[in-house]
Amino acid sequence: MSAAVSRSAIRSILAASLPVAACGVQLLCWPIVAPAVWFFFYPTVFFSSWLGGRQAGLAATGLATLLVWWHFLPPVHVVAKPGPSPYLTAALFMVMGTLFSLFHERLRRATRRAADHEVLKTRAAAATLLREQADLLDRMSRLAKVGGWSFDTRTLQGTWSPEVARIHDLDPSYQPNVRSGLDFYHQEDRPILARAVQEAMETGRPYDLELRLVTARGRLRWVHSICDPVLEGGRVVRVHGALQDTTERKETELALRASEAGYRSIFEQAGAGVVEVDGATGRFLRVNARFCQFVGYSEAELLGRSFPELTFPADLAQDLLQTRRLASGDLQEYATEKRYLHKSGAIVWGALNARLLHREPGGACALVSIVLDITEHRRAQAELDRLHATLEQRVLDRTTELQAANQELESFAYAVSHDLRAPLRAMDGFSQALLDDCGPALTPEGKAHLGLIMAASRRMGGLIDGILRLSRASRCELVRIPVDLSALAEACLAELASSEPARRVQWRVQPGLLAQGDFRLLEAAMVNLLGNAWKYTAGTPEARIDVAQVELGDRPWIRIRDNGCGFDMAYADKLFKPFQRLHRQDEFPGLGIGLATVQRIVQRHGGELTALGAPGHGADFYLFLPTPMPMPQPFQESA
Amino acid sequence: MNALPILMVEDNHEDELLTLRSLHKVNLANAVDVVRDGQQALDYLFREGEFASRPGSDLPAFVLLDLGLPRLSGLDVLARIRADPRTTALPVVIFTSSSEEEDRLASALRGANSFVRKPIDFAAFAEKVARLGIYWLAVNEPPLAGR
Repeated sequence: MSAAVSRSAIRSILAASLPVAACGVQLLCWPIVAPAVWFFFYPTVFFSSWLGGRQAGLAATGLATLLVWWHFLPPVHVVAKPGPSPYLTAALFMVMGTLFSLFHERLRRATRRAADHEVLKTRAAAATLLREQADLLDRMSRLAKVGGWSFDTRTLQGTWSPEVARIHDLDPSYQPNVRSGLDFYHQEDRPILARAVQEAMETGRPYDLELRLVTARGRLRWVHSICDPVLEGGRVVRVHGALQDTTERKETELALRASEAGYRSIFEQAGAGVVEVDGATGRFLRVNARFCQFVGYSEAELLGRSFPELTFPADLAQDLLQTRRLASGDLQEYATEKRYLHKSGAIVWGALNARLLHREPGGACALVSIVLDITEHRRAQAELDRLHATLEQRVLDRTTELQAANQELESFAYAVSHDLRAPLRAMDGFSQALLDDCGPALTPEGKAHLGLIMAASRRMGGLIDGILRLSRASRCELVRIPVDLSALAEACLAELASSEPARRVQWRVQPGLLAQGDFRLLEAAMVNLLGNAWKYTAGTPEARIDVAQVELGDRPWIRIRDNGCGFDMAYADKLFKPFQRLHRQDEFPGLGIGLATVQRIVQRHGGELTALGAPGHGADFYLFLPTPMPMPQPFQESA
Repeated sequence: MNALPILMVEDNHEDELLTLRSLHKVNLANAVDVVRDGQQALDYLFREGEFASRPGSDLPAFVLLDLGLPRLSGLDVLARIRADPRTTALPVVIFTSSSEEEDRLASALRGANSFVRKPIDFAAFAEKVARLGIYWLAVNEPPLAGR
């Protein structure tokens, strides 16, 4: 500043003293230029004012006037030469000198103003550029999540860019230092960074680290920290560097690594064979141990082969077609069961599921197939199918046999009913004829014998009828209709009463006992049960028969109760077996088929029959038929 | 009471004798012609084969027909009787040991006039024979009487 001032002052003084030089030159050239006394002075004041400005110009003008007045103008009183008056020329010169000074002053100001304006303009443009650059930097910083930082090694104080503050979840105005900066790092990574920072500050060694940072808000972030120490005179004066938030990239990388580890684990440990094959050639790219075991080749042997070589020829065409469709993207997934050729030459069955694994930009692609060994399953299935087929055949054979046996039984029953009766009739008939025709000739003993023959033949007839009824109860078609058991029982008892009018039996039947079943069979059952009750109360003075519904074990049972001779429960198991009797013929005659027939009828209806009794205390027969029965009506007595 | 014969179709000799005895007991004047199988029965009725020159009236008063017969069964004989216009209206009584539902139904469907079961008890047997003889000869008015 002071130098500039002194330079300008020197220039002003030099400019102001230019008229002295002009005076010297004019004195030397006076013979040539005389009498033009102002000849050299006009240009001199012009240059003075040009070089020195207004003040130098005015000073030069005054000095020039004085020099001319002194050296070149003759005294006014000496000569009166013709020409302009010296006063006039001096005044003109002074006016001109003043004008030059003012002109140059204006010129200089204008020039300076123009220059100043130019400077200002340039400065503003630079500032705008700077701001734009800073803005761009900040934006790039945010996008790249990269910030810069710098620390003084002596004070340990420093600055960082707003992005670094943001990465720390801090306000940009936060003033960091080395120690507080370190505190943000994960406790496992902090010692690593501390050592690196120390080395950088002491020896100037840069570092480049991947670290975990815990932000002011407690969030864990992965960062990439780079440090570049600044050396001055062999000493580290500053450390500066960059910090990038790499959390997303790191997380993606970790997820990818986990996914890859998972795939590898599945690939290696899977219970199924896993293979990767080239989509174009079918060559094995990667095979797992399970697949090697499945086809009997080692991994090395397989990697030199392609899957078509290992495929059973009959399954190959379909396999190749589907593989091509997978490779071309026509098909997302392909599943099949196919045969492989085991190294031993055997055929093994695999359940295959193939998908596209990845496609390279060049068009080549890899497929991944999962192959389950289903050889054993197939074998078992085949065996099962075979068994199934033979089973069906066996069932068919057996059914045919049963049908034949049934047919035979039918014929037998028919023969029994028809042909076995005729001889009996002859025995009875001719015994009677003998008795009628030759009675008088016979002894009483002979007549008695004939009587026994007749009784035996009738009894045999009764047995045949019983067997037929039992057989019919087992094989006839069941036609279910609603049956009024009360009405049946009443009719049956009435008939019994009319067949033996001498007997006095009191009975009561609960009305409204309904069942769903075959009328004829249920009728036969009631006839048998009530017939028994009738028969076995023969020796009871006040015989009573009672038919009613009772609840036992949540089920409605029909109870047929009599107060007859009863039976011993010890023999209850014989009660319902054919031809088994609990009474001697001379006590109560009978065939031993009735209750067996009732049992068969009840079973065919899906019901149950049971009996309770004690000798001399009557018998209770319980009959259950599985059909809903309406509420019974009150008792009605009858005799 | 007309004097037309009764045709008994019976293969069992004992049953034949017992039936004849029972009929005789009620003093029926009608003759009883006996044939022993189904084919014979048809030959008798249509005067064919061994009966081509059978003497006497055209048709019996009624036929006592057993079911279990050799050669042609009783049901077949019944069907043939009903199928032929000459015998369509001839009374036929099924007289058999069978009490099978199927037999009773089949007989009725083929046009039997009656179904009588032969009991084993001879007293009952004799009574049934007597009653059906009286019924068909004396009680019933046949459509073909006088022919």
